[in-house]
Amino acid sequence: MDMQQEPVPAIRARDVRMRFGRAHVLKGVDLDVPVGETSVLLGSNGEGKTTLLNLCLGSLARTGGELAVLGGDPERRSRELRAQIGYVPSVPDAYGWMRVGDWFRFLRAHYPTWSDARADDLVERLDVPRRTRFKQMSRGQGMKAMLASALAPDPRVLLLDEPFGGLDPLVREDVLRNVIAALGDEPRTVLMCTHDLDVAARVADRIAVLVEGRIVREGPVGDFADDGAATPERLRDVLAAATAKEVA
Amino acid sequence: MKALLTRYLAWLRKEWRDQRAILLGIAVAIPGLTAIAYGAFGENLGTARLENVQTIFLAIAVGLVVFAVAGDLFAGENRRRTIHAMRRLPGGLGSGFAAKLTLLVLALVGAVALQGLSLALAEHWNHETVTALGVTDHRPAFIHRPSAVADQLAAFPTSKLWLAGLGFGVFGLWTLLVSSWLGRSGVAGIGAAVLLAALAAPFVLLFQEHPWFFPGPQLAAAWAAGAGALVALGATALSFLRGQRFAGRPFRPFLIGASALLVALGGGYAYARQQLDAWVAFGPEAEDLRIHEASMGADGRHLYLTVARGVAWHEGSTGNDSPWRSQRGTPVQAWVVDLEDGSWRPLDERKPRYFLEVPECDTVTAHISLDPVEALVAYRVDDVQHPTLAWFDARAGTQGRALPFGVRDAAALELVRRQLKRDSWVRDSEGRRVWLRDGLVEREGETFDRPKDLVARPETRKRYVWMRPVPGGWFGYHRMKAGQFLSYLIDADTGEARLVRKPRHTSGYAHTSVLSPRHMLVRQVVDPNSKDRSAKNTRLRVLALDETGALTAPENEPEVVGGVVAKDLALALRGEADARVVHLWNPRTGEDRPLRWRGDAPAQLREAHVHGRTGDGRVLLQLWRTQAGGPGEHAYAVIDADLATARIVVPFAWRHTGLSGRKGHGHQVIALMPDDSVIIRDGARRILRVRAGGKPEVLFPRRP
Repeated sequence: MDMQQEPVPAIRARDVRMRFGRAHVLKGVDLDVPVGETSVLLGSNGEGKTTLLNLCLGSLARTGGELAVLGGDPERRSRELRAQIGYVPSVPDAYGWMRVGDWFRFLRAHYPTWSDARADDLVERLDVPRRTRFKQMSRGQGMKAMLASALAPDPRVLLLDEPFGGLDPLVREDVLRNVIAALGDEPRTVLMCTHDLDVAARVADRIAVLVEGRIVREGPVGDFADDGAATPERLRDVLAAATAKEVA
Repeated sequence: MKALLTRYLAWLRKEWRDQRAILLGIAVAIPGLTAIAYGAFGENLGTARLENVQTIFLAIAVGLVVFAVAGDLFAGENRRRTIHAMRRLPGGLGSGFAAKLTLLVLALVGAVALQGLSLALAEHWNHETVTALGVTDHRPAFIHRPSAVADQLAAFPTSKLWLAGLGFGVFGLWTLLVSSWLGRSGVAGIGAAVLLAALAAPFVLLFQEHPWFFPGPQLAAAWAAGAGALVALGATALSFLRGQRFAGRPFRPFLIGASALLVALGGGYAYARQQLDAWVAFGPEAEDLRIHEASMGADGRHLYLTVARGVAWHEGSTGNDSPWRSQRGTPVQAWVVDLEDGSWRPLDERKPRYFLEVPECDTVTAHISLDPVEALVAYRVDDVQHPTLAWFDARAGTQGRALPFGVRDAAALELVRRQLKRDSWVRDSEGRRVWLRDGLVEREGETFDRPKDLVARPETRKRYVWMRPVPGGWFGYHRMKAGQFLSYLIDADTGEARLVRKPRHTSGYAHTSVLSPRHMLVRQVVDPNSKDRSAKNTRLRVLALDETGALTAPENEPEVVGGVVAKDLALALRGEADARVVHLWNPRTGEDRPLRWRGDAPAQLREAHVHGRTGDGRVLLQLWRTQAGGPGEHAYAVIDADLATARIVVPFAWRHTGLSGRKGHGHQVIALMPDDSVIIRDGARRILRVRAGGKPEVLFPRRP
């Protein structure tokens, strides 16, 4: 599938619904994530951002609606699609006894496009400790290791699930700079969910606001700024207005 | 394929690293526990049955793996919250599952091997140490054990142990299944035990109801283990691969696994039930039908059969029938066949598991009675320890009361008397029929006290172990210690028993034939099972059964004696082998008369002996001949001792197979009817009536 010749978005969601028991988490999400752009999914805690990411990854089965990632249904073509998707969880989920090298060796067997050189380069650039086991890493070190392992296979789509949550400001800034640098290497489709408006303002090409299980506003980041530049403050106003409107 | 293998190996490495500490701990614990056990209880373990010791240690070794590893393989992923990584990696669930399974199998095999080696070393050390102390002279079990390590290792994988190992291994797989449902590995083993108990209950009940359906306990256990392993593997694969496919559904693995179990086992239960019903319900047309016992009713109309399909369970459960143990069979059923129209019916339509027998009363157990039967008892085979006996009047063709074992009511006692009277050929000096009932002499014409409603059966066997009717009374013996026997002779006139002193023999087989209450013919013969199957007399003596115990040489000694036909009259065969002539011979006087044959005389005759009698005094001879280069054949003749005449009633046609009739092979004479026709079980499935000079008539099976 040549995405250059396909104008279809890398991720397309139409009326995607998801419920856990009686709790309706997604109530009909419509979202397009264009190829080669970084989209940020903004929303408060519990709005369903992680759920949407997991649906895209094929780790969850949606209750209804249509969802296509790279043109395929992630529920049905999960193995094929996952090999092309990089994923950074909100909490490192590597085995605690593993060092970065162990984790990379383990992952290498799962991704045909895995590149040791790229992985080594990322480890160097992100300053990931090589000799520390995951269970001994700090949160920030762990997240950088997860980012490196997600980017090492050169994925066509990168899903980032609250990568900066729980990090102290200094570490957060360090990780964020690394992320921005890593994402800037080459055009890549990125969907990142966060409730951190500063992060969104600095990395997003497009922003979607998820409130009460629906996308209430979505568009290029410029649409969220009066003078063409999005700021956290402006985004906070937008988010507050969207939330109030939705609640009303 | 290479990518698949690479991924699988990556997961296997990961699983090894995950469980490495536990596995190394087990590897240390197995020899450690073995050493501690042998150090503390060396002599006890050394004198216990080796197989039991091995099984216990095997259970410990496999149990360690099951509880420590099997329970943690899946549940550990949940506990460590790494299940999400398994789920999100391409092919992670499948490869991880295969790797976990591989690790479990390797761990089980490794634990068994390590335990075997540890035991062998411990046994060797224990043997050396304790033997050196010289305290095991009285412990043959210990001394006869293999002591060398190589012998120990060779003794380890016995069939019973493999079954035990297989069972433990299967339990490990079920633990794996339960651990795929639970987030806690600690309770997976207990959960597996509870689940297995619940799921196996119907099969256990089925097995108890139909133990004969399975071809041998060990084979059945192996099948059960194999099926259990497959079901556990299948359910685990579904639970894990389908149940963990998507996050957010904590009960999905359990629901999928339980549904799979329900379908598999529900189908299994239904299939087993259907197969059992189809197997147990059979008719005369069943190809593997076997007639175990057959009796002709005194009414001449009904035939009473004990039949089974394949090997009846009571045969398979004994150790003496090893050729049959690997075959399955149905429980025996009792059938009543109406010879008028050929129809048949089971004795009890609802639960036809009965075994028909002529009631045991001393005299009938010790000789072949060829009379049609007056009475039968039907034992329930379901309860061998406390069988309920349904009494059956074979003259009227009616079923009587069902009584517990050891109890007879008045009607049953009357049936017993009728049976005893009918087939007793013993006469007192006044010519009246005399019989033994439970050790008491009863005679024709006597008035018997009406018994109480329920009469406990006396333990007569303690007094007369083995009684057989002889001219003028009964002869029996009581087994003493060290193979010694005390012989008794009961006089039919007086009813008194007196001890008989029998002469000792130095070699060969000694046969004793009571000629009368005063004399006995003692025969010492060569092995009748020798290659040429000849049974020549090597020494014949007449023993006086009085205080003198005098032994005298008989007059006019023949080559072969075939038993006693009547008082002071023995069956003698004279002439060369394959051309012998049957005589009636008085060993005391030497008087000798050749039998006159009504009809054709038997040719190529090698042997003849008394096969059985009827109560009216007819004697059935079994004649035996060997065709040159061919198998032996039997014929039967009815003899009239007074007139010294005989007539062949069953021609030479039935082959001698060397197997007993109980196995359903060869043939068995069931009854000699008043018209001298003979009822014969021919092979396993047919009952024939044969008349002299006539064509055999098939009585069973016959289309109604």
